[in-house]
Amino acid sequence: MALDVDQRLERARRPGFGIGLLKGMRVLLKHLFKRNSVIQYPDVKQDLSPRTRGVIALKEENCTVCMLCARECPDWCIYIDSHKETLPPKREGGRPRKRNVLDRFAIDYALCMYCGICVEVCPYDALFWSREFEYAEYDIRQLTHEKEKLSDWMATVLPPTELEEGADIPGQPSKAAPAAAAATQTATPTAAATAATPASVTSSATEARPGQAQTAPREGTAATEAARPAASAPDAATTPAPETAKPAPGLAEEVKDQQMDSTAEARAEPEVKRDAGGAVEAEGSQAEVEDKAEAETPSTPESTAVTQTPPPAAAAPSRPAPRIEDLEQPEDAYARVLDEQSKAGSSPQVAEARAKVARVKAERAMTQARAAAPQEVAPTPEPSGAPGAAEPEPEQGPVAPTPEEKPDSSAPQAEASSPGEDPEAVFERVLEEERAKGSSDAVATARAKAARMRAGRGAGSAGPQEQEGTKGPND
Amino acid sequence: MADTYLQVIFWAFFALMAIAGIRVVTTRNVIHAALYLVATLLGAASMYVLLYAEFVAWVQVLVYVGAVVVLMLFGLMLTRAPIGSANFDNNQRLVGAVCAGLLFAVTSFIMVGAFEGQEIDFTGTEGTKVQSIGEAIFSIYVLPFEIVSVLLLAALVGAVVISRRDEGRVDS
Amino acid sequence: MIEITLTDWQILLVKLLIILIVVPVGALVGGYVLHKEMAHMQHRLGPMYAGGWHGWAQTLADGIKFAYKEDIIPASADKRVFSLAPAVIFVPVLLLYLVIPIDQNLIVEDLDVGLFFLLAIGSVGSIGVLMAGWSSANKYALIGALRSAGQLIAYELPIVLSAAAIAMLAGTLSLVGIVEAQDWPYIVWPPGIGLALFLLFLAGAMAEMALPPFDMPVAESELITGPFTEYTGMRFIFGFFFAETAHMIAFAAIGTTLFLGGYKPIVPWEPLEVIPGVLWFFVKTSFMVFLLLWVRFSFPRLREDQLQKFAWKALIPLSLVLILATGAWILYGP
Repeated sequence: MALDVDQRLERARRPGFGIGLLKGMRVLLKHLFKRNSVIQYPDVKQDLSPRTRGVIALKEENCTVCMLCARECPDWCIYIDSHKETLPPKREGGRPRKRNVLDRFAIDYALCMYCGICVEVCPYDALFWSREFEYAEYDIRQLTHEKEKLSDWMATVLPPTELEEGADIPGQPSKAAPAAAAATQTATPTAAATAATPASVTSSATEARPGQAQTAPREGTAATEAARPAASAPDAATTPAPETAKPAPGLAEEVKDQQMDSTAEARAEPEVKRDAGGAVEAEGSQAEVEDKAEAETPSTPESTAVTQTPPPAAAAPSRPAPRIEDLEQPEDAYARVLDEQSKAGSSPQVAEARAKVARVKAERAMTQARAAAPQEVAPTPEPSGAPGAAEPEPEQGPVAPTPEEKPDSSAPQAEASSPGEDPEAVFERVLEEERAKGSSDAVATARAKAARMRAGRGAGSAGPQEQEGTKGPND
Repeated sequence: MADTYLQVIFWAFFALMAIAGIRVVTTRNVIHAALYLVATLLGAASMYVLLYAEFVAWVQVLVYVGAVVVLMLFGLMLTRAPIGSANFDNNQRLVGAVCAGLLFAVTSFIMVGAFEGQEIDFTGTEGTKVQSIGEAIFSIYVLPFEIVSVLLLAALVGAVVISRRDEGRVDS
Repeated sequence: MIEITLTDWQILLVKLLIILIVVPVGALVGGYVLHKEMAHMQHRLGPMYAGGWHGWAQTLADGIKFAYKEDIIPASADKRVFSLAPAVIFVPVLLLYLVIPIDQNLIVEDLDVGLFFLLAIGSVGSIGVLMAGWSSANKYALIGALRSAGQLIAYELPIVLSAAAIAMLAGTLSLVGIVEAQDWPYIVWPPGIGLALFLLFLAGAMAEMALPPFDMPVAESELITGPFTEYTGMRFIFGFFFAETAHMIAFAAIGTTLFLGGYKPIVPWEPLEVIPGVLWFFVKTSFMVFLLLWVRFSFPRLREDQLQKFAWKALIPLSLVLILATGAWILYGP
């Protein structure tokens, strides 16, 4: 019964001595007559996959010198130098603005191992993969591409690929949203994709930032757009949640930054988004990257929090938010996922692990929903550690686009009937308050408008708004 | 006409054989000696060809050049065969010379006694057919042939016995 | 019409000249076929540039390149032996072509002992290999040469014995005679024995030429290029590439002559008799070259001890049994 390895090998070999050699000969003969699929490289160039990791291109105007790429680089092959510039205050008595100016951005391709972490980690879509790969040099020092060269590669970056058929469109509510968003908060590609959208808007604003007066209004608009969802979820915006919701931390700071700038005058211009070509592009590619990353790993609530804020580009009036009764009980989720996994043929360990993850997620969703739901359900269990979280909403509110200028997004809000305070009344009240505090006209108006909008929206669908507002900090 | 050519070829090969033969014993390098031996043997083979004994000639090449000398070179290279001159001579040169001289004298004496004054005319002959050699070996000369076979077999067995180590001794 | 009469010597000279031209050209073409067949079997393209059309001039270009290379002789090498060795390897290969009948009357010299001549001359090359290995003053070269010699000694026996069986069947050592004695279906006749003899010959031939799977003497992972490690330029190409390819074609031709009916048509059918024997010979030899290369590219290299074991424990006993079987067939067969 128990043959040792040698005996078994011996037995396996005996009956077919030489058969393997003949089989090998047959394979070779087959290949001799097969059509040869060799691509004769220097003459014929292969159409490489759009995701090819050829060379990393830098969109210099998007870079904010946040240093995330350099820090995450496993090879430490990204070199960044910068200095801070102080800009004069925009108006009398204002605070002088500081901003980072990129002096040097270099990638040493002799060290780079093409892991793509820098591209993944860049919150402002300043780094992209290009398919170009023919940049060998005779001197290893030439392989360090400075920012001029890196920027030149931008011309070779492909536009984002088309979404797959049946994929959710970024910025649109997921098809599965009504059921699934509430259910387990398992990340759908949409969730991830929409999470990226605010970031891209922000980056368009960033692009315009370097003190160009003409673009200031637009910039403001962009900021507003970006800020709105974030500010309406102030906690989300200010809570550091670095590990998953990539756009969030950057977004928060950026939003704050922009708020100051845009207080002067903010006119909503729908084309702003389109105007910044990079933004559109960035949005796509970011979404794509996110798509890939998030499809595999379950999204965490941070990203969902951002997701559920209506993205500025998409005129999604509101989205049904999870209510506690809709949410799945953690134990149910556990049992369901366990069942699914074992049916799908996963090994018991894997199935159990995934089920546990689902349970944890369901628990978290419950907590959030409870916190978000009208106060009588439960008080927010964990107080947010972020300073911004404590600030009252109106103060944070950015300038909202006026209904006329951005009818698609604000109209439904304005129309919403208010069970509590009338939006117009809120507007008047806040305006008064601000004036009493001594805020400038512009600030006062802006804050009042924000308050009015919030009130309108809150009236329209109490659930989702409050959900948004309080979801962020819970993680 | 053809005779002149044959004369030229004969003397050329004779010179080759003679020089190579002398070099075999005078060279200081064993490998060189073996290689000169190859030249000598090839010269001998060419002599056989000139004597219309093709078969013997190619046997000479196959057995002596292709096997014996290869084996010799193999053995030399496996053991000790430095490049350049290394003195492997011993002080028995005189004895060797006496032996070789005696052998030469005896062989010449026999050869001259056997063929003296005889002229063998090869003109018009086809040379020795392989068939006739085979018939001769397996009819007239079958006894010497078998004796040689037994002798070679004995040598073979003897070589195996000598080279084979005792099982017990290997273990110890 | 002018009638040119040539003496025997002049005819011989012309024939030798033809051999001197045809063999190197054949070796070049063979080298190209080798490149291409290997490439396509391995799903590559092989040479594609030299000469324009599918790299047809690749081997020519290689040869020219090697001709321009510096001829380096290592300082501690035995210079005379070192420079002589490639010739000792290459010349016997050329001599092999002297007795191969390309057509019934197209042969340099139909020796009475043609088969024996082939075997004898074929064994001389090993001296050249030993010379090259020893004189290089390089341990890899020496080990390669020793392996080569051991291999030649071991595998000459199966070749000689299988050739002897063929000679027994044909009743002659003359190669033309052997071809004439063969009847359709050449290779499988006498049943079983013929095919076994052919395979035996093939294995022995591949080992004698040091082709994979018997290429331990030049096993690059262990010995670089074995006996040819120190060679450069023309000496390298004559001793190694040229000799290898020419040797391969020669053995293909010998295999054709001994087993495939040489210049005879593939099937005995009247209309096919019109096609000249040279063409049949060429087709059959090409098939043999293809077969040798095919085996060469398919099989992994054996280990040195496996090689010796295979020769002494499998091939030689088998060839002795086959000789016996052949004898029995001649005596008691139809």
